[in-house]
Amino acid sequence: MTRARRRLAIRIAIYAAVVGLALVVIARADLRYRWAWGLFFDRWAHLLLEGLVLTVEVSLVSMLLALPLGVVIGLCRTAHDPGARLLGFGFVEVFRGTPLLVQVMIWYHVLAGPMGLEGPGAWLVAALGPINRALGVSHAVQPTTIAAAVAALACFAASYIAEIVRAGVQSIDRGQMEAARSLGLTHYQAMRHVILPQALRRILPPLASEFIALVKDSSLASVIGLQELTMATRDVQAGAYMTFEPWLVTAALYLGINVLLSLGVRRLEKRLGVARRGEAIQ
Amino acid sequence: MISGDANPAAKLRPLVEARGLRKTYRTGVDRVVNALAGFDLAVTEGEIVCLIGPSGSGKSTALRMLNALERPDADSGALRVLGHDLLDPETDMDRVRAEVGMVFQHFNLFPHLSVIENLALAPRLVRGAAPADARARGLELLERVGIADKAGEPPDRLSGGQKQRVAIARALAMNPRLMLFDEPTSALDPEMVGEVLDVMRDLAAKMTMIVVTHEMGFAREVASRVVFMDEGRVVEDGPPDQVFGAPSHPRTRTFLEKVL
Ligand SMILES: Nc1ncnc2c1ncn2[C@@H]1O[C@H](COP(=O)(O)OP(=O)(O)OP(=O)(O)O)[C@@H](O)[C@H]1O
Ligand SMILES: [Mg+2]
Repeated sequence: MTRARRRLAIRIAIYAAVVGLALVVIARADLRYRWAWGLFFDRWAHLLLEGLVLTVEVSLVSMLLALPLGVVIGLCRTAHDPGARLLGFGFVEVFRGTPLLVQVMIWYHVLAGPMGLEGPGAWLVAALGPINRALGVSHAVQPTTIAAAVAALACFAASYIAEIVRAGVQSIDRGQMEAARSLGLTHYQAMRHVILPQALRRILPPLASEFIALVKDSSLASVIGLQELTMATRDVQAGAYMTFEPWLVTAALYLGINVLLSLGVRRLEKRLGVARRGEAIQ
Repeated sequence: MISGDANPAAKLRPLVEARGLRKTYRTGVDRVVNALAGFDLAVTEGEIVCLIGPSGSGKSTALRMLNALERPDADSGALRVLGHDLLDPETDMDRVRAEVGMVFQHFNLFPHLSVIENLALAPRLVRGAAPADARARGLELLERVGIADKAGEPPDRLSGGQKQRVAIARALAMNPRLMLFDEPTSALDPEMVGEVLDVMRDLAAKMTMIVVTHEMGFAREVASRVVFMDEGRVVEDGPPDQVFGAPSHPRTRTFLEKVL
């Protein structure tokens, strides 16, 4: 058998196995389930879309906060100053070392009051208000709830981003920092113009994974009553006595956001000319 | 003794005055390396000093110290570079580094910037030069090292010799008063060594340079002084004819027999 034929055979075998497995699952599925797609789309689907809007909003705001916070914490971990290093270490350990569900609870029940999260929450609700009205979101969002959700997600994601940034910075050859400093750049200038731009190219793929994780983790905000996609789906399940339709659609919606996110980052990688070292050669 | 006007008769200013420099690296719980164990060097304006010596003798450490990339041990004697006291913690090291150019063995070009941007970055950030001016001046320097046609290319498209010439131009873009070279041709294929040495030879006419090198031919021809180091100290220091022709120290002789 030639190489090309053998490769084709392997490929067909893999495809056949995947399709076969899917067929088995469908065949064994509960065939008595009464699908009601018509009713679902008429009466309930819009609730999921409202949840989707909130999921996207909370994820996006958390991401926008988590990225700079994660970069700063990551740089703290590579800093010369022992105080900064300790701060970075502590932040990462605390937020990476406890379950996000627990953190969401603590932000909402313990910290929100004393930290005055209601203020920024109200600001956020006001800022999102016009968008939500335009998109027909009917639920009122509680300021404290959304603020606690964003704070929890942002700090949690920032702890992972910090480690990604640290690994990226430390992967850049020492000579780069030395060359930059030998030209008279300050440590900050060297970081900003020489090290970070190179590190960013390397850490885009793990950053994308972190953003995707953030979108999925936003479902945990449902435990404090944020009407995001997962909470909305549970409401639909309870109200409509349907399970298959809402959960399958919700899975597809999460998948949709995250595929878009992946494609966006891929484009960014291409734009930045991310080195293709180690890729397969024909 | 070491202050700037110690010798008012001298027309040429001392650019480097190092006395009793020490550098200890901790490499384990109770393992230390004395990279420099009392290093002395004085360089006046216009001199071309070639630093030679066996591997591990402390040449790179000494050079990096002159550019404040490495901090001397606290019990070091004195270190003045371009009039700045590098042992004084109040000294603005960024400013010293901006006035001293450095060329590395492995080029250390910035791979995410084009050749011309490599040259323009520091003048823009450190001196506040306008981007257009920095690029114009960069092009002039690229012309001088013979690769103006590569201005827009990323560094990874260049040969080793071209990279090192860009690195030299990048250092010159800051108008340094002193240039340091750490084995600038050691990472090059043999056929590219010549083009880099040519650029350095040109430069030697109007610049003060300290060059760590294994190119004894270059040292003999271009250096005004050759300094031989061993075990963190200067063992021999004199004009090339004397150091190569009649070395006074047996360790110098042994070293030269091996490399010549
Ligand atoms: N960062 C460091 N940590 C520990 N030891 C070091 C460090 N840098 C240098 N050394 C040690 O200090 C000594 C002097 O090193 P240096 O690089 O200055 O030598 P060199 O003369 O430049 O040698 P070469 O010709 O191999 O470049 C060596 O024993 C080296 O192992
Ligand atoms: Mg060396």
